[in-house]
Amino acid sequence: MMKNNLLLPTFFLCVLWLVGCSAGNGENLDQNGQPLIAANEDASGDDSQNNEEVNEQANLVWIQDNVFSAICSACHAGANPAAGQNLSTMENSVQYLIGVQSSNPEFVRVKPGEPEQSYLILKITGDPRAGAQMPLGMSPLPTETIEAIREWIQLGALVPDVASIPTRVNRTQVTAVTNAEHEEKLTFTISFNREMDFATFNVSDVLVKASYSETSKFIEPEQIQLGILSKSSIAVSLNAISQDTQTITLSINNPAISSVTSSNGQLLDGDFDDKDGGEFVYVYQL
Amino acid sequence: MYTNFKISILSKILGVFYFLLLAVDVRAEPYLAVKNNLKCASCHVNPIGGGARNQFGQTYGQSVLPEKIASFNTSELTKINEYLGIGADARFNANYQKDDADTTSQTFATENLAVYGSLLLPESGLTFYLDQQVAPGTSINREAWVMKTLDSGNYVKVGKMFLPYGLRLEDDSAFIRQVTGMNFDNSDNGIEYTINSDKSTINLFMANGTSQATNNDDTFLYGVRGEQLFQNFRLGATAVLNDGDQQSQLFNIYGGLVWDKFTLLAEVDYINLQNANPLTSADVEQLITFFEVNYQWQKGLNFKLTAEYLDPDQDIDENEQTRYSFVTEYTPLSNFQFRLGIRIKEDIPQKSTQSYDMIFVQSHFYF
Repeated sequence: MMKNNLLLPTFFLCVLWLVGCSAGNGENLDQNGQPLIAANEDASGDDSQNNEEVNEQANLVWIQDNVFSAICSACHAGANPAAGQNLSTMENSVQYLIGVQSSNPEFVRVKPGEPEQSYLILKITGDPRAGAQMPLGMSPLPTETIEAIREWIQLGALVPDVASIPTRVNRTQVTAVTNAEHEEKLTFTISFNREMDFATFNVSDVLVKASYSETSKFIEPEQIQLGILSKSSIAVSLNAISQDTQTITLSINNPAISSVTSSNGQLLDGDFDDKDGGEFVYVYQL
Repeated sequence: MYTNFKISILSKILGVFYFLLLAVDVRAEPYLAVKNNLKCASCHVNPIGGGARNQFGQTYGQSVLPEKIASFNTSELTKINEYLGIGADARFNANYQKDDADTTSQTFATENLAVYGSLLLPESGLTFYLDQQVAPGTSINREAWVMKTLDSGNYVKVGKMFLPYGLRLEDDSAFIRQVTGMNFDNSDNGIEYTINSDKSTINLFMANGTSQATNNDDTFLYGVRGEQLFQNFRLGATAVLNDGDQQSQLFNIYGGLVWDKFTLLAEVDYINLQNANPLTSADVEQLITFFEVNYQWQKGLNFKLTAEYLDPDQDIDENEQTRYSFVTEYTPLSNFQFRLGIRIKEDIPQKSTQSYDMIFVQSHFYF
């Protein structure tokens, strides 16, 4: 039979010959397996350009606010974060990403200085070695965002001094449910960029104002429900919002009422002026 | 030539057996199909293999594979009723690894726990199939599809599925699985139409090509796989075009051969990644080869030797990688298997953490 089917043994022999090859000796290659000369040329050729085009987004503060908290935390947060990886706050992101073994034993999640050896980059670029591309079930991150993350890792995955970063609300989500009486129940989920001190935080610290066509009124604390979802997020629920309500204005950290602080005692920068303190106001149009 | 070929192979195998007294995690099941000259569909609900076993597959796993046969009937246990069935695979590992940077790691790990459900609707030719990975980590749906089998034996399948591509090794970290992205961690949404005859299969498929729930690049992946069974060997080939901003083309040829107590598997893959060179934007061409020898010493005991080679960019010299594994698979009783293995992976010296030796023990429970 084999005499009549030379194709098969030839095929197996060819494969055997190929698998008999040894691994490369790495001569003239850099740490990513790319030619040294080309890499040097690229580095020298782009120096001036790189100096001119410093990516201001290539830092953990921006990435945390715009990617990890804004997008990834939809799954990577809470009591049972996906892959056991909590990215809801900067502290968590540092803890769960930098130097942490990934599900692929050949990679750590973020390897400072080596984006191509960082599982995070493989995941967000859809590299087959990392399985399904993140964000799962969503459009891939914009190229500029991926490049910002890549550059942050390339620059050493630096972690800023936490004390120098204001404590802020980094995400607010509103969920509306209409009951049989056509009344609406609204839930505001507010996430902060770090762990907070909610020990003394209660319903009376939340101001909610309902606006109608010509009037407005504050909603009584009895009609507000407050839930602590995690160390860095809360839920404020309002029952029975009438049909003629036009806007709901929610505010916290109003200096006249109470203050909201992080777990390390830093006052919330509610008005985003880069200074501790200031009221956080969120307006929802019905 | 045939005699020389036999002697050459035998001497290589004996040499490796001599030096490797222990065994590692290579979990290729296609050798069973090759060994028995059967299609994957003979044993699996999913005609392209993997996942839930059908009645024949369960009987095989209960009666043929193990050294000792259990008295109960697995197919009766897993049959909820005439049309509805369940199944599972559970793999738990103990690994020890040391890389060239002298970093060591040792761990127990749940490698995979997957449960399956299948519903065969009477008289309609319709099958609904679900494959859910429940550990490690959060629950992940790997497959959820509906299949309509036609009177001719052809079928059309739609939904979330693994795409037919080359040898469907269970080992996702094998180069032919990892680098191609055609593995059990990467299902896609699409449609597959398969033309079946007694000894041949042709799969035509189209999918998002994004491994995503939605098609986010407005282009698709197209592929075809053909496989022909002969008396004691088989040959197959796959071609895939994943269109998009960065087009990729994948081609492979694969085969299997039964030779006395040996079962041989081989695959060669060529990949072209358009504009993938980060410096020059030139195309990157990759070459992967896979070779596996299985030797059944006695009932319930199989030795597996695997050799792999990867050239991640054919335009760059001395960047190749290799991977060798030797695994002992012992199935002492029905539905339970032990694996003991050694793996040696070699990368370039600059990537010292990518070159490592690994020893692992795995328990595999299946039904």
